[in-house]
Amino acid sequence: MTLSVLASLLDRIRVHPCPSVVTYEPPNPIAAKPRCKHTRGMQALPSAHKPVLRAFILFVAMATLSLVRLEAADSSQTQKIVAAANAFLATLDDAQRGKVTFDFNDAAQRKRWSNLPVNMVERRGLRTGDLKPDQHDALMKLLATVLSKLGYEKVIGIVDSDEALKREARNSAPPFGRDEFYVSFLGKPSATEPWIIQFGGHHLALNITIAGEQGVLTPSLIAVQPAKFTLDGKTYRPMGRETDKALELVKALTEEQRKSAILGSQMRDLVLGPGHDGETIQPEGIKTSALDEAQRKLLLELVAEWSDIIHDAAAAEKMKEIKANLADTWFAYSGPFEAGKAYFRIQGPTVIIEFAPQRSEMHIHSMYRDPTNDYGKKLAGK
Amino acid sequence: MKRVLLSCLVLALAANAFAHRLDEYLQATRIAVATNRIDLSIDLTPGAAVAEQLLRVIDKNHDRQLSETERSDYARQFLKDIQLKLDEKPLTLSLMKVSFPEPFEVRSGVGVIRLKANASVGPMALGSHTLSLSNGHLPAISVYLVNALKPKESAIQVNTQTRDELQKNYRLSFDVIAAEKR
Repeated sequence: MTLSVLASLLDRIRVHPCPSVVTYEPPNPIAAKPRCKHTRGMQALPSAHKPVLRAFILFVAMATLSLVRLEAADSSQTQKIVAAANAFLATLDDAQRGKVTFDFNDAAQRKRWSNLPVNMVERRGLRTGDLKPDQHDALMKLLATVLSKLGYEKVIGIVDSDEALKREARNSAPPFGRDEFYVSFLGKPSATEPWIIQFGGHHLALNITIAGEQGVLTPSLIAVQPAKFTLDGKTYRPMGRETDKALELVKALTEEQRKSAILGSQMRDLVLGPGHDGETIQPEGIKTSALDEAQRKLLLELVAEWSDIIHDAAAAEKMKEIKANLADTWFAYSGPFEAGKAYFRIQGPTVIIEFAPQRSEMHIHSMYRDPTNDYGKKLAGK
Repeated sequence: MKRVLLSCLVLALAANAFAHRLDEYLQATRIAVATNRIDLSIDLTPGAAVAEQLLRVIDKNHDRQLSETERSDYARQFLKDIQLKLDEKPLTLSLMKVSFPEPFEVRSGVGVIRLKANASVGPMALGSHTLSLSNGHLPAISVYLVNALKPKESAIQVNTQTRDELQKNYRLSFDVIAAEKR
């Protein structure tokens, strides 16, 4: 708040006849409600006292504003996430709270995610279809807080694609749709101690570690089927930008660069998908140091489609780290120069992104890992 | 009766088609190179449409159960179909671990057979080496992925990985480096 605004506020301050009561008179007098019986008898102080009193009020107001500012700085994204998580927990009954919460070091629950439908690989936690409307709203608010706008829209797009899949599937198909996603917490929501939010189901697994002011999104599986769909009259491509940007990048490479970047073999699936925590493969393709500035920019824009899924502050930190290691980052591509039809991998010291179409541009799997910090192990010391 | 069973199978496959691998047997191998041994981790994922074909290979007595003996026999048969060579000399793979999903998981196309095997190579000499792997297991229905893991020993420096189009044949070129040059 600027000083001019403060001065304007001061102009509206009136000294109340009741000791220690200062009221704020809003621009619309109708909104001003009397605080005590003396309000109607409000009167001006003798003019000689006004400058001293005004100075005192200005001092108090500035001190208060400083405190408010400090509070705002303290009210970090982590605190907002903790508040949103606790608000969600508060909507649950005891049995639900028991189901949603796991020990931070529960190794089995950490790994309980997959690209497969929920009847084929068991998920634990609370199922979205079992939540009451207020509980569901609180969960969506939590996701909107822990993710960026881009990330939230992508996640909702993936959930909606599963709903579209449900609508086109036969009755005998596995359980698909918005009701078949699960949320769980490993550890308790805390602004200081590490904890993990898991949200996922078919084609989605977010593992978000919050450790103090840090946020870590790896490992996360981001997938979609159908990759393009129409729901309630609107067409969506939840992973459309990734697809388009990868094609733009590979097309921007010179013939000579493509000789390094393009792998001469079919890549039928993710190499480091579910079940491959802790593994790091040998990087391949073209090293980013061999790219020009414009190509490196395209690569970083492509990386951001994964690194920017988490909330803005954590995403900015992650991008800073990726940029610091850019010279030692690799890009590999395999497949045709057609959107969504080719495998690609971006691998650096602290990032591995794999994108693997499943024999169709309408069915895509992707994986986002940090070999040094999956499940926030670097921050949590685990 | 046969028609009913066939209809059920077609419906099941159609349902599975929405979710995952269908008509191919994915054989994904990860290779860890150390100065004294080569470790292979292999994930074998049969699609629902080829699962019965694979189960017939494993289930030798056709009782629709996979006994311990049948499982380990299959794992050993698989390793026989793998040719691993270091500097053109064949290596003998020893089976270290096998884990099998239940037959119903294999039939639904979500079961993963996991094998771990290794070959002792003795301390490798300093300098350049080539490791090659050829996978000839059930080629009519299979697709392959082969990747080297990042070596844990700083003495090993990977140079290149080359594969044929299907990744049935793979070559890894690497150097063993002296301590003072690392």
